[in-house]
Amino acid sequence: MTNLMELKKGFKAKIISINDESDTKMKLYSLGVLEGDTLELTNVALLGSPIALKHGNGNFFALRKEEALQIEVEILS
Amino acid sequence: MQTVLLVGSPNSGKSTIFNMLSGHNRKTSNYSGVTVDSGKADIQSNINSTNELEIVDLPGIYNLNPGSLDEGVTISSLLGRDKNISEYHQVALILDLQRLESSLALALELKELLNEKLVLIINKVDQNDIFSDAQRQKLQDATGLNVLSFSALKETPNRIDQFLRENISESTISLNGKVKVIPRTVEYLPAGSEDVIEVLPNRKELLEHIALFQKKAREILSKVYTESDRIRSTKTHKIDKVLIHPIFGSIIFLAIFYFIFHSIYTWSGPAMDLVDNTFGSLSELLSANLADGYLKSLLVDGILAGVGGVVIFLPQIMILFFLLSILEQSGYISRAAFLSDRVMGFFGLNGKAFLPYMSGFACSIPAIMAARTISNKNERMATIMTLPMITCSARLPVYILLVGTFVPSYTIAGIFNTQALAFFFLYFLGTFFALVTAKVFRLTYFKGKSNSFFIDLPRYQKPLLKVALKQMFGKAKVFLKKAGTIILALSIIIWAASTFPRPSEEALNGLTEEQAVAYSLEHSALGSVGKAIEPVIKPLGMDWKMGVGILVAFGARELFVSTMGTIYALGDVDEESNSLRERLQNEKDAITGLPVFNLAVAWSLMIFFVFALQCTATVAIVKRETGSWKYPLIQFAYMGGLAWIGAFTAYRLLL
Repeated sequence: MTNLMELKKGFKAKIISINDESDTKMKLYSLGVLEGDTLELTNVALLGSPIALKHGNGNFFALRKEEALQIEVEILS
Repeated sequence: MQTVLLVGSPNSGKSTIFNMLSGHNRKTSNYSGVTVDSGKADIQSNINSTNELEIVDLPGIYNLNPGSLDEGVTISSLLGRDKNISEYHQVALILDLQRLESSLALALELKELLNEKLVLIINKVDQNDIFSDAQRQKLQDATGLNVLSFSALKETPNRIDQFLRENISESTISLNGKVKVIPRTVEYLPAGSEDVIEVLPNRKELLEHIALFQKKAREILSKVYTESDRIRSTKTHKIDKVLIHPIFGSIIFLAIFYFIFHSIYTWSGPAMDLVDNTFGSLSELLSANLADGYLKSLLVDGILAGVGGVVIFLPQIMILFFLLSILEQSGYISRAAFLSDRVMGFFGLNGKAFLPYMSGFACSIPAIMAARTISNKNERMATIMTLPMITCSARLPVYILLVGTFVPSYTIAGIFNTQALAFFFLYFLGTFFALVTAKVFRLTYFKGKSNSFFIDLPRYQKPLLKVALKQMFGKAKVFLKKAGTIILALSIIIWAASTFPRPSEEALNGLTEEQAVAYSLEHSALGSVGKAIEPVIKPLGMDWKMGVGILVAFGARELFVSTMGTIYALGDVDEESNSLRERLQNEKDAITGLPVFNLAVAWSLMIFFVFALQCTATVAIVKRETGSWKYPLIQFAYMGGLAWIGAFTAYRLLL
């Protein structure tokens, strides 16, 4: 299993699943980020957290490492 | 009177539209920055119409399940269960063209609740982002709702105004079904909402509910848009490569904030001199033309010296709010939250607390209200408890007076001005101690797991000059009003309290004019109070006059300046100096003959102002937001303690 933290800057990944029990899923859904969507890692703050992402539809958001760990992804080349 | 609620996601430009539409007749208003409470206003076109409309600005939401207190205000207003909104005739949803997908999902969810009483306004249809009339028509057909496409950047509000009037219904809204929430969110809704909400036992069902609308929205948009019509975001992507870069981004972050302090300090110079000279010549004119006596003393030493001492800071206040508005509009604030999240996290807060802290630089009151956006209760409390240590604009007059008068100005390392650096240090000190205290609170009184950080990074926007100017002049008006009312009244009181009771003739016998004035001042009502508290402040290097200034400043910080203005004007016998700055420099100790003010005393005073909670309005708002007197009292006590210790340390170190 690969989580979002393993994604490198400038690379893209597809969301496979998001932990149901975390608040992360509610927030991602609210922004319109669903399973199957593509995310691109645009920036990583000092010391590795938070991270900034670009959603497939062209919008940007950021989250902490703890939340990125709740997101299982498949890294795209 | 018919009511229209303006609803939208955060950053959709809802408040900008509200401001454009509203007439001068604002009933309640929100502070600048983030909308955390409902704000009502009459629509401007009411002047030309018999049909009166009222518009209501509400905090931004993503869906109908509230995640924090501010979102709770919007949901409860929509449910007709808010303290300010019990019924309404229409909801206008502002959709962000740049986030059309998630905005449309909210529209569909609302439509289910409100039926046809919902209209859609697509905002940000600006130069680069196009939404054609054919696309608008398609969206209208697919949703069954009336749609208007609009650009707050380029247009006047006329089309929205007309659109709202055309679509408003005579009857108030009755809800079609209940709003689905999860048990945890019930705390964000007011009591009495039970009959209009459905509490789902687990979040899975709600997640499916939200996902359903998102998918429906995508389906609709796939018909409206072709892939090539999609909004491009390469510009924001490119800018972010630098602005949120871990190293360059942090450097730019510091540079931006240093630039703000620098501008406040340097740009205001000429304007300050102008105000200073105006008040100076006015008092010269009065002095020359009035006979000696109480009236002359009241006008020149009481009113002009007191009010003038405060009005001189108008240019700084205007520059500060202008620059903050530019920064807020650009979309940089969320990037600043991103960059500072690691630091905030270290102190037990999250990046969301950055926004309240940031608005704290303007004023603690809206900042404390903005803490409503923090969903975790303990983090919110720790933020509120420490916020008043952030240097607000009311401290500015005090700092500028003292830094400008006592910190020598020269350039070091080629670019840094010592006075600007002193200024920066005072801001840094307040912020640093606010964070340290927040950490202490988070480890002791407000313990608990740190909340997550999840932030929307909106696309960069070109800031609107007219919005920044409106903000600037609005704040200037508030400031002048305060100077013309509270500060004027207090200046008169301070003058009276430092003039009466008059000492007897025998007491003044044999004294020089200078000694007589000092004697009268010391034996006045204010002098007695000052003398009484002198033992407490003596270790800080302050005399009774400064003590009185500090005491009065517990009402509001800028009163320190007006009080000093009046006291020193009365004590100024030869009337050679017309400005407070000169009077402070010339003030000599009656016994030793040495200057009363020196660098150590000035720093002692400034450090005291960094920490002390000298603002009755803040105490009141903390009581309201926390629902108890306990918290403002704790806050007042610990900040007072820090102020005394800090001032003592500074004085001893510099002496």
